[in-house]
Amino acid sequence: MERVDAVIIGAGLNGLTAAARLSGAGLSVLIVERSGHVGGGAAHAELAPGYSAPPIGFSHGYVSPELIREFDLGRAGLQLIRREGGISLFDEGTHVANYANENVMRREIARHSRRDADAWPRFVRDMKRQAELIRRSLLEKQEDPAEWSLSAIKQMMSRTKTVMGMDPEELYELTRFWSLSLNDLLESYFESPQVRAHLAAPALIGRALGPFDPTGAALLPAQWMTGSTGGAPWRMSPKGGTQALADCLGKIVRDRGGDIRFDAEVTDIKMLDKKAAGVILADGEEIDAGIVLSDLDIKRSFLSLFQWSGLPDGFARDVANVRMEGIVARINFALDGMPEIQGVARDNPALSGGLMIGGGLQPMERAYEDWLDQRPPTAPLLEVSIPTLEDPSLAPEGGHIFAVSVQYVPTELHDGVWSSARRDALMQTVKEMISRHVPELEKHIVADELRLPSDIEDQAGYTRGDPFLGQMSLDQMFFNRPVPGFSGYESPIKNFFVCSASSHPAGLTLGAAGANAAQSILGSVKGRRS
Amino acid sequence: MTDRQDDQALADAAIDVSRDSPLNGAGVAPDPAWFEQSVVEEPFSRHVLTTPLHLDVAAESRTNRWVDWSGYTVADVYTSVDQEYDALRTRAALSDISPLIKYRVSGREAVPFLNRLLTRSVETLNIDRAARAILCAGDGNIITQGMLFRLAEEEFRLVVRSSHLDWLEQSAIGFDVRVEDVSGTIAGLSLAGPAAAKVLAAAGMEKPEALSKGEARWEQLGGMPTYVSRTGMMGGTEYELWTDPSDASVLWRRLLDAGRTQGIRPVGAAARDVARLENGVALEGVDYQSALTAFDSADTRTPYDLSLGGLVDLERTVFNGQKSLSRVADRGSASVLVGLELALAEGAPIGPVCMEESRVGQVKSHAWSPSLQCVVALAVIEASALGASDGFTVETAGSSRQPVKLAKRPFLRFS
Repeated sequence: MERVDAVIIGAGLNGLTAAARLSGAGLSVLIVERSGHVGGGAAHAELAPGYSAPPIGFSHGYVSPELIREFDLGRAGLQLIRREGGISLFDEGTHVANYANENVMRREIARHSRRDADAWPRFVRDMKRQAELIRRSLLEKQEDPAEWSLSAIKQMMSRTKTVMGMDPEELYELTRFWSLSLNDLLESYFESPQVRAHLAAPALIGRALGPFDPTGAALLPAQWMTGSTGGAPWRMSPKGGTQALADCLGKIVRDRGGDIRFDAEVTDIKMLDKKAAGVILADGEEIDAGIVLSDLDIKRSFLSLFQWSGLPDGFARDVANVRMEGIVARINFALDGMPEIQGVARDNPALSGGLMIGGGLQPMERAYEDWLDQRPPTAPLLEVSIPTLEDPSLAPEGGHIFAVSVQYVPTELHDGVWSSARRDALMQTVKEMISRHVPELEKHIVADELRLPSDIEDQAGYTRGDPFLGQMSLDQMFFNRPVPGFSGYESPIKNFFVCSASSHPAGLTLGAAGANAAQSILGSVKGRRS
Repeated sequence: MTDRQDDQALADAAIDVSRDSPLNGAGVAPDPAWFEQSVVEEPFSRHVLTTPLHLDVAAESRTNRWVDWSGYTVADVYTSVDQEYDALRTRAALSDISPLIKYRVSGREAVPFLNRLLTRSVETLNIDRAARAILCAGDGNIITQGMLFRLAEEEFRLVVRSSHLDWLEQSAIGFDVRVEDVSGTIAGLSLAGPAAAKVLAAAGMEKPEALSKGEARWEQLGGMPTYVSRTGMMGGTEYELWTDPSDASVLWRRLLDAGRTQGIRPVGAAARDVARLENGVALEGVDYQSALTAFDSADTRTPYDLSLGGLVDLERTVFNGQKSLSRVADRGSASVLVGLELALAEGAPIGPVCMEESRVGQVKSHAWSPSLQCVVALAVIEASALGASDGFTVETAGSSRQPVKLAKRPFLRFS
């Protein structure tokens, strides 16, 4: 029987960063992965011969500079591509684009409203200030203030100090950001509804919220964590997609002496004296381990790997109550060429940030209401990223990929199931919506694929297909994540930790939850040893 | 669609003069959105955002050195900074200041509105006079500074360096007042230097020397209606000429011709900045950040921090930032902008300002002053360190310390 210091369930990005950190500290680490490859939800698959796209994960994500530096990913061969821009297309043939240069951005906004162009610097200032607050909390472990541990009190004190040190104006700003709806917040800067829709849409993707719902503004500054020199923010994404990041991390784990075992599905946690002591695989094999980390979402971690009777009183219920919502369907199109996009010049640098098609705030709200009523979407919000523009290696020569996130797709329908006719209808709706701005789209399609939230649950194991493994609403963030009373990464089961995006900081930055979990484990192990 | 084509046709016709310009090449249409911002702009299509004087300015440029000013491309250096500086201080200098932001504020309640916005009352400002204007946020920090011209009883023009239409319109809510951005409809020329009055007289203005500081009047220069004001921020004799964009180019050439015997030169932004520093004027975005856009609020300044307390009248009806400013007036500023003279060579590196062993401030902008033969600098210094009048040093090359002298602003005075 095998014995390791730490066994990690799942080779997703967070499982990999946790493994890399733990093996870097000298622990013997084994990752057990159900599928045959690393990456989990971030993994790519072949969409058509030569076309590589993530069928489930977003084709972009925030890779924090801290992660790159810690694992020296730049020298390990990972290349990063800066994706600027993003263009919102509207039905009147107009658009709003993002530019990284302040003057160009202000000129772009001035096309819609001169006044809004002047409001832009004020908006940038407020976004950057709030983003800095979020960024600071991202990489630190979240201490539960109810625990009254020394470190929790310290963190509370430092936060209180930050808040107490603010002048009333700043405090008012903070409350505004955490309580207003996207539209309300944006209305305090911009008069043009198109500019507002353009800025709101990216913050909605993946979230079970409409643009007019309170608290929606909270995640708007998250996009500004990469920084900005006065223009719109950008994202860094790995060349070769998230798969390349996963491969690179996998190599680092192995270089540091860690091991990854594929085609091995964990069905149970081995318990000894009410403590986690290893895992049991589907074929009955047992692997003993000092600690067990789960890169599964919080529901799967506890509700499917444990006997419920073994969990503390009420804990199973708390976990069951965590809100996980499938709201995004994923569609990938393989194209044999780059079709013309109406009103957008081919050399426009903003194209590399993708297209946003939602038709304005009112249509987005209607799409959200349809989602609440569990109706099949008729005009969803589409985020179309075109990763091949900056990274042609993902497609055969001349080919392109349109990777579409379809926002406001219900997991279940009010009047039946997602039959194949319904799936076809959704595919057709999306094609028509894009074709309104890209008339030649259908001529260029050589392959397509659709993943509904339920498909995402089946394939990646995200409960209800929630891309964030737990909705990122204020009640499920920071020390309330994953569940109140059990913040950070430790769980009521001794030696069992959740290192997936269900934990802080969720999907805000790739791989941070895993790295943070490993850090807090190493801290407590050292504490125990000394 | 047809409307848009008509607009385009009009715009093309209006600027057809430049179609054969060497800048554009044969058959290449000039930039369609030339200064006039009302023309429908194609997305991401503008090559160079130019002022109405661009072609004339480009014809004078021998160095191809340009800078961005509020998004416009203007000349940084025409021939050499020193030559241009000499012209500015000893003869006459002509510059393009069209990128300045101009707001027209008009209406029955224009006076109460401006009283609310500015740190001092505008009631006493006479028609055809200009006054320095400071606009503060609620916390007393400066949003922007500029000149306020009174054009008529209920009509004002506010000329500032950064664009704040959004904030001005919000502030105007509840006032019977109209705020318009008229930047694109007014071109600006600056004529400075001891011979400036002579040049103006030669160009057709009657008794330009009779215009006192801060005064302005309408003139016909070669048949072109021009609003001439005795304003500027470089010190010495300065005139600013405000005119229709379509006249600007002719006016520019007229002034250059009229000044030929006086040794006039076109002067770029670099030499103007040296003169601005010699005059001790703090610049928004350089020496301090606007209260509306500063990421770090420590970079913002109140009028008192800039020694502009004289422009704040606390004893009157409510205005923006009044409460906070009276608190600052009582307690004094936490940090103050001061002038420093450094006996360094031109181009020497300049680090933080120190007092004994501790760092007490930071140099914000500095330049070699040819007139004073030393480096003049504006620095922000902790007020607590200012009890002493000497003993300050700056870190310079090789981490050596160089003593610096606190200097009264303006560094350079003109009779």
